[in-house]
Amino acid sequence: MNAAAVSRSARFRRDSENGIVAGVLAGLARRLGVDPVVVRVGFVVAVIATGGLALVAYALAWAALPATGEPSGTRLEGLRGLGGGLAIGRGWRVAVGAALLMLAALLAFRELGLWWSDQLVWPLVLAAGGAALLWRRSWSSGAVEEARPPVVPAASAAPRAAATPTAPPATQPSPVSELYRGGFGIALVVGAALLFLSSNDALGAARDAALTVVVVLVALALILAPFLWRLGRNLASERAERIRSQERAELAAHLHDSVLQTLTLMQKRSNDPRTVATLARRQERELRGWLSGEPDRQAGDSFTAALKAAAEEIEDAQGVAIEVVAVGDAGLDSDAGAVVAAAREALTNAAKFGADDGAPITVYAEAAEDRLQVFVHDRGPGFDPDAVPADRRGVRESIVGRMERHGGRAVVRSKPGEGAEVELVLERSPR
Amino acid sequence: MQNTDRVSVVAGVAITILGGLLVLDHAGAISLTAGWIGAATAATLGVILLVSGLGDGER
Repeated sequence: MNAAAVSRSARFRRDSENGIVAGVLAGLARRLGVDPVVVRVGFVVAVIATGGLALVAYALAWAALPATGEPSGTRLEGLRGLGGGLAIGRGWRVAVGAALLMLAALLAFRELGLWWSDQLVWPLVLAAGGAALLWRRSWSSGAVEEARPPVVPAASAAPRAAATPTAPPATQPSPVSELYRGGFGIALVVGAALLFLSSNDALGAARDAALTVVVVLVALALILAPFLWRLGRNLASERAERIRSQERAELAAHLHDSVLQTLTLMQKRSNDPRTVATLARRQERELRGWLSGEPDRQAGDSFTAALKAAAEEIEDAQGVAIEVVAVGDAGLDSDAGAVVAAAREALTNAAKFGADDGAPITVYAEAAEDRLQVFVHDRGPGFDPDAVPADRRGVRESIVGRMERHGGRAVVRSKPGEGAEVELVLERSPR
Repeated sequence: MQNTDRVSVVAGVAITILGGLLVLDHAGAISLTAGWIGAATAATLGVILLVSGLGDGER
């Protein structure tokens, strides 16, 4: 331990672990090498002898001294651990510090005779403090509400909402903090009002007036309760109907823009079965994605999006049905791009040589940042991989060779009459 | 100067000034009423908290 560390360890620090309140006396006892009980007894005597001023010294030490175990160079930790509960952050320390300085100024003005009256100033100070607490609570709650992601209408977007990734929730004050701030603020304002009324001998009249107001409010509530309840129910049902109407409008717009347009095109191209099948397949894919709530992603965004885009391209070009099931996702770098390219080549081969009437080509992909695995399966006539001529580069170079160049592997499994499956695996170190 | 040292220095100076005022009052050199003692104590605490909080925000 160097000299600086020794110096730091020898400093007087509060001992929060062994202390009763804030650990000031326990820390002092440890520094002096005496029993904490002795120090505490001496402190009690000092409090009595000084008429309570020793308590002020305790409070100052509590504010000024860091606790044991806090690394050097950290901020003043004196106000943490009050009763084991409140953790007073930076903002509060600045606010309380400024408030205390203002209090000191008021007391000084009072002593100098620059004063209005106690009956007016102290209630105003209390009311201002309470209002500031309530304003700050209201402002922080409003900031949290604005940061929250917008609520999507439930019915029309239920499938979409289930799959749409939500933004992480905004930081929210804890309920205890909210209760503390709100309750304390209200108490200050009410206390200020009572203090003002009491100091002006108006408390009795205020009590009578308050009682009158309460009685009138209760009577009004009893009279208006049925009407208010009906009004609330009508408002809720109106809101629900409005939401349903919006959802219907959104659904109608989507169907018009997608399905109706596709059906119109299919009628115009009814003499071209291949085009009709392509249009139908494309629309089916789009509707499935919309119903499952998949977010719109561009092919360059991720491995899964690129793989799906490649499958759609082959599907449109070759006029075959390809079903893609992808689990997980990963970024699209050069290695992932190679896997996509190899899968595209496997799909092209499957579409050309393995497409069976009515049986789609299936693609199953598992993607993670450290591993990519793709299976391309068709139920076509199959082939003997060993019998592929050496000059046919489709499998050897575009699939197997490409994967091996990027540190992965490709396995082709097929037998005549049993379809074909191409497995592509790429393992890489996590980024 | 490290952040903690600045806060400790300010706290030490403020407490020293408060203590000096109390000593002078006890010695009879000055006469402090309860209001002045309260003002001085509040100012001392306020300065310590303010410097601590502001110093934390600079880190």
